[in-house]
Amino acid sequence: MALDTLARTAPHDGHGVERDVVLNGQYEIYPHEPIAPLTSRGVEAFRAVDRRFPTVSCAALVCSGETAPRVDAMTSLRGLSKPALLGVLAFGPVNWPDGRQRLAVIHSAPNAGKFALTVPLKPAQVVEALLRPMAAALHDIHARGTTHRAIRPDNLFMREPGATTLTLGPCVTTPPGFGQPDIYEPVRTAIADPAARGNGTAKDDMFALGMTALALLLGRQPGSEYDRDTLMIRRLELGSLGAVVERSSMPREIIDALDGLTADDESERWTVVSLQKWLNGGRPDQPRSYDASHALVPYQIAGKAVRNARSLAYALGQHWVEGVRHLREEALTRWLRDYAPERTAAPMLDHALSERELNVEGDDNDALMVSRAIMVLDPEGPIRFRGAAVQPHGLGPYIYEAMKNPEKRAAATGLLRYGLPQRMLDRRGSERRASARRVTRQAINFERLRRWAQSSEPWEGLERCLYDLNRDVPCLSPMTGGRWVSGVEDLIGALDAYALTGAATEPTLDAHLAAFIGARFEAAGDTLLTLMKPREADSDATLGAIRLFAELQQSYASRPLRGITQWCATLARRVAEQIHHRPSRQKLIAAIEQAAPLGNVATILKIVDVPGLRQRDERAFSAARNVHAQLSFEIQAIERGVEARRARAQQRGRDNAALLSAAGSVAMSFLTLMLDNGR
Amino acid sequence: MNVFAFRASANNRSASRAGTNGRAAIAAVVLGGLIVIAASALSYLVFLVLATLPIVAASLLERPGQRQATVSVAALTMSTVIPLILGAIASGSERDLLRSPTAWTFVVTSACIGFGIYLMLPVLAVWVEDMRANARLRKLRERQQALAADWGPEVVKR
Repeated sequence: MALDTLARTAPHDGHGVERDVVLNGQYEIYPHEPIAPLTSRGVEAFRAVDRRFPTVSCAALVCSGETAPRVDAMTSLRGLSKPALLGVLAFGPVNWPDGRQRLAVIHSAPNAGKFALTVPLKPAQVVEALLRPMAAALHDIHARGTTHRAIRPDNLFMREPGATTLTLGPCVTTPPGFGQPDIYEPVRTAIADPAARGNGTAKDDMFALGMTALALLLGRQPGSEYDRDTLMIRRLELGSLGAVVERSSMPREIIDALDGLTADDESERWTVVSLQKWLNGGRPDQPRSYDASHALVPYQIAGKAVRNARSLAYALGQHWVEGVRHLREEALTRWLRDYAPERTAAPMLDHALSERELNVEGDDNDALMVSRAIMVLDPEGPIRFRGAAVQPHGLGPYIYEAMKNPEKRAAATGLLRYGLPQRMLDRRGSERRASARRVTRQAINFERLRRWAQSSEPWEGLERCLYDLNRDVPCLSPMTGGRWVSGVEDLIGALDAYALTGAATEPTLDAHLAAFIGARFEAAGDTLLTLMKPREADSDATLGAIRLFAELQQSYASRPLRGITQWCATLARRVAEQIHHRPSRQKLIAAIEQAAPLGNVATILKIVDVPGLRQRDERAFSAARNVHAQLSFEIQAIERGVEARRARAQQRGRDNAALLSAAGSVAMSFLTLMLDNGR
Repeated sequence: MNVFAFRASANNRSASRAGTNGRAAIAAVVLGGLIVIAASALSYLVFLVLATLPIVAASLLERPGQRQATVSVAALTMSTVIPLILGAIASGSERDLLRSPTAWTFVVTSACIGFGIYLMLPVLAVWVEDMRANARLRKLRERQQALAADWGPEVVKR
């Protein structure tokens, strides 16, 4: 169905006023003209028009914020124009009619609609319509250092009516592999939760392409006849291709490509170059056949029969509560020792189960025991903890989802606080082959995440991990007022707007904002605490907070920030009030009051951040207190010594009386002689 | 034997001896004076004795170990008595000082002045001292108030 034939709904909001949304001043998005074929979980699609070329139809995919978008992939793919790819034309936050900001991605629109998987295609059709154009598109995508990770039949489109080639649909609005049914993901990532599959590699795209080709050949989704557990166990025991199709039933002209593209061993899987070589008539190296060795006697767990260590690990992860009971029983280790094809699995499991965990919270011991067991049984699989399955490199989107879904939060926190990602990577042979420098940096990063996850500091916790792992996700704080705040300028604008509402007279940021600032600007803990609880902060931390805003304003916003400046003025007043010398304090406060309306945080900072001012004030205050104490002492001494002082004065008076009389006697003698002789 | 101790005790003894000699010399002078006065006229001696009665009274009223009242009254009384007697002796003719109202006026007045000085000067000294203390207290309190105005009530150490 051509998109331009979709019925237009009225382009009006509830009040009858037309409210088009514009991206970058160039793309008009019509929120009342949805495009159903492009809509998926967490993403809505709408008709859009490029103002420069109104005849070219575009589609805007608008993220709901439910999942973390791939902004790095958007950046990489922007401007890539290939016939087999709905290219990214532009992206950015837009003001949505609901008053919030959303991230919109403009794609060129598939005018002929979505490809429908209805009848099996012939191998030649699959090659010409799918493999050849996709090989060219993937070559360019991978050359840009990114992956598609959304190759599946229901994400294939027809550019124009009558087109003979298929076009890859959007891939950047959800986490890598998020919308993929398990069968289109390699086993390693298929087990993981949809949001936790990680960026993966170019070879993950090749697997998806191979399985999509198989779907086109079959005319249905491969493995759709099995439930999820059965299909995954079959894939782990028989190989992905062998699990869903009889190899012998596949057309011979394409079986080599299917083998090469869907190889479960990533090192043997075909690359784009291999595929192009095959398309050009060459013969790339074929993968070795899948080692389908499995136990003759299966082990029953949760009603499923498993026959090797990896399928056992899968079953333990899916049914971990029951798995605890199995791990405590002898039967499992006995089966591993006697029947499992992996000879070393039993002793390794024994060793893993005998390990002791330190600082375990609540009833996590059982969940950790299952995790350790799965790590040794299937080290290439995802981390399994409390029912969650997460690839170590897919933590970012997973934690974003956990933030949106409180039920997943405990598991997300747990797997970080117990350092499970690093422990899993330490078990992987593939990771051990990586460069020592990368491994060390990775270990440091996971250790930081572990520390943050178990931190009781209000600006750390899972929120800090979220923004550290996802450099492009927006801040989830309600204080942003629904804005798409993913960068410094956005943050400054949102905070300034919030401050101007007068909802808070000083910065009382929530955990999300504090963690966001901490992750983006490496702000000190004291500074973040000041921004969260300014009344508990000391002068140095308060100055640090003002300095942070001043730097942000100077670096990213040239305009006045009246709201933030009012916040900083409140903080600065608090610093000024710490000055003991009242005339100086009054002078500072007067200067702050004068500077606050200007909207320049640096001016506020300059007033209160005088080098040595507080030290001098403290010294002078201490001296003043001593002087005051000395004066009090002297006053008390004077008041207490009245009697003694008077006694001394009397004595002195008497002594002086004798002297005065003696001196006066001379005058008296002369006076007597004069008066007596004059008589 | 400690030579220095011997010397110190010898010095004390010589000082004591000098004091005794001094008092003996004064006594000799006084006695000589009395003999001269008595030789001139016995009434003069009687006048002298009667004139010393305020001095005796002052010495009796004075606290033990104190001599300021005695000295004050004696100095002023003797400064009138001695000129009167010496003037009478010098005139050659016997003068009846015992019945002379003028002489007794001089003597009583000077004795009163002596008592007056002795009684008033301590009061004056206390008054002056109180004035000075109050002035100092006022100045100290003003400085404290200035400190409190500059530094707030926190400047007072608890």
